[in-house]
Amino acid sequence: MTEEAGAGPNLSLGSAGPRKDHYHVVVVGGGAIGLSIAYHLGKLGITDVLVLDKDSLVKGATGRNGGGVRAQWTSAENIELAKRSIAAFRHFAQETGHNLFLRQGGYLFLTRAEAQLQALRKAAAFQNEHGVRTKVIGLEEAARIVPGLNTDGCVGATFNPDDAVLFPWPIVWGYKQAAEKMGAEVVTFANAQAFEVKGDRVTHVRTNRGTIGCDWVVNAAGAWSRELAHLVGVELPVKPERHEILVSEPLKPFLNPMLVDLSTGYYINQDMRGELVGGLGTHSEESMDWGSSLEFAREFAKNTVRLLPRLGPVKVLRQWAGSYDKTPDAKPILGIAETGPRNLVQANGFSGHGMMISPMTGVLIAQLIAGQKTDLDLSRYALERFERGEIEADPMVIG
Amino acid sequence: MSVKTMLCRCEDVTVEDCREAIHAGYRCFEDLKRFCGVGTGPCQGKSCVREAMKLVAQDTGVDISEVDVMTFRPPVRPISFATLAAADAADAPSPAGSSLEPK
Repeated sequence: MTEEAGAGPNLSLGSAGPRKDHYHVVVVGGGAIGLSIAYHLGKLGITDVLVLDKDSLVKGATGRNGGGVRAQWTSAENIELAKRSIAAFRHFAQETGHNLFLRQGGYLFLTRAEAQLQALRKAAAFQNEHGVRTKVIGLEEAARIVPGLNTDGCVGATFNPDDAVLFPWPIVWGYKQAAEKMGAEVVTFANAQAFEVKGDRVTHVRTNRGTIGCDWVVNAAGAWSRELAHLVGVELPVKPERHEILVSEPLKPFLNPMLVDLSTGYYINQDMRGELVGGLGTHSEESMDWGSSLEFAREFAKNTVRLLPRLGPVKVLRQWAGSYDKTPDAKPILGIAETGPRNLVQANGFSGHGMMISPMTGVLIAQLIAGQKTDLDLSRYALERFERGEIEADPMVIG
Repeated sequence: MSVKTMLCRCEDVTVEDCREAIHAGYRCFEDLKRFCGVGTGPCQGKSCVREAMKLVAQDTGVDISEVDVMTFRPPVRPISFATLAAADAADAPSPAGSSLEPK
């Protein structure tokens, strides 16, 4: 089976097909975003919901990311989504019965350039205005927070103690099972191939598992969202960007925060299974190739032994790759595109931080569909910002 | 094989855990791996994958040849950061050449 196939080798191994031929809401994409939307729709009483995924679950970005959850961003748009999402993750187990192994050990950003340290000072002040407890810290304090850290060549750091790491896979199982309990259906190996449009509305979604009528459609297809929107003439500036990642053998807990070196976009954290998980920001390119490279493993290892020399003997177990659905400003696209059908909602372009802002994204999209006032002003996340030229990129993307 | 038989020793997954997951609807190997962690530990599935695939085949009623196989990923054997960091770039195959994943 190729990783990009729309359908697996044997449909009988996937979920049952859709039970009906019409749903109030059809969500395309069964990742953290799509399932969070289904879950939050249910909480607002909208349970006639079908979630489609082209493959089995946890195969896209939700299953491939490094598990970092942080509010240290430089744009209000990302900070507000992240801050509320971290708060929601703290209650995820109570809400869904699934443990995310959340650990709020903070995120520590190291910088090697004075100019960047100045920018981080400004960013920290901005984050503080948004209620995020980021501090600019010295290198001695950084070395206290990360035992064994080699700060040679670094000039400073920022630290937000409320940032966290978690295990992303149970987000899918938790939201899925909770949404299903409320009445939603999740169908795997179901590839949305075409939309039937009448006037200014999508009336049906055509899939390899049948044609489904709908009142609303949500494009939560991650790295595939651009091609999905293109089917109805909505052009999204979303590019699938290839990123690699690896995991080590499990060790006794020693690394509490997510550690980031901004000079290379290097990040490393220790998950609650004891494994070290990390990536690098230097190899991103537009591609849906999920093959792994030795070049990445070598470069990651060089960064690791430079920053944390005592990890030299620790062994790498596995490496893989995935796609960021990257927008030009690293902020998501949320809402109804002016040029598209009036019942087609975009929830994509998460630029490598979709998992971490999936709870709040689900809340907002559910509110939009329910006709309620959204907790955050969605116009700041509108597709049209790119046409208006109102783009201010958030430079804090790593990996 | 009793229900208490350990299926994945690395991740502490029993036959019973796997069966429960299969009956809860996680009916392909890739689902099973992501739902109960089978095959994700230090052996990277080398000791448990075939047994788990057999269970999927038995409990879903398909032939084992139709059960999906987990994607095996590099490195083939665990390798230390120190060894990787010291490896000469000239020895490194191209990214495409080192890929074990389907394109």
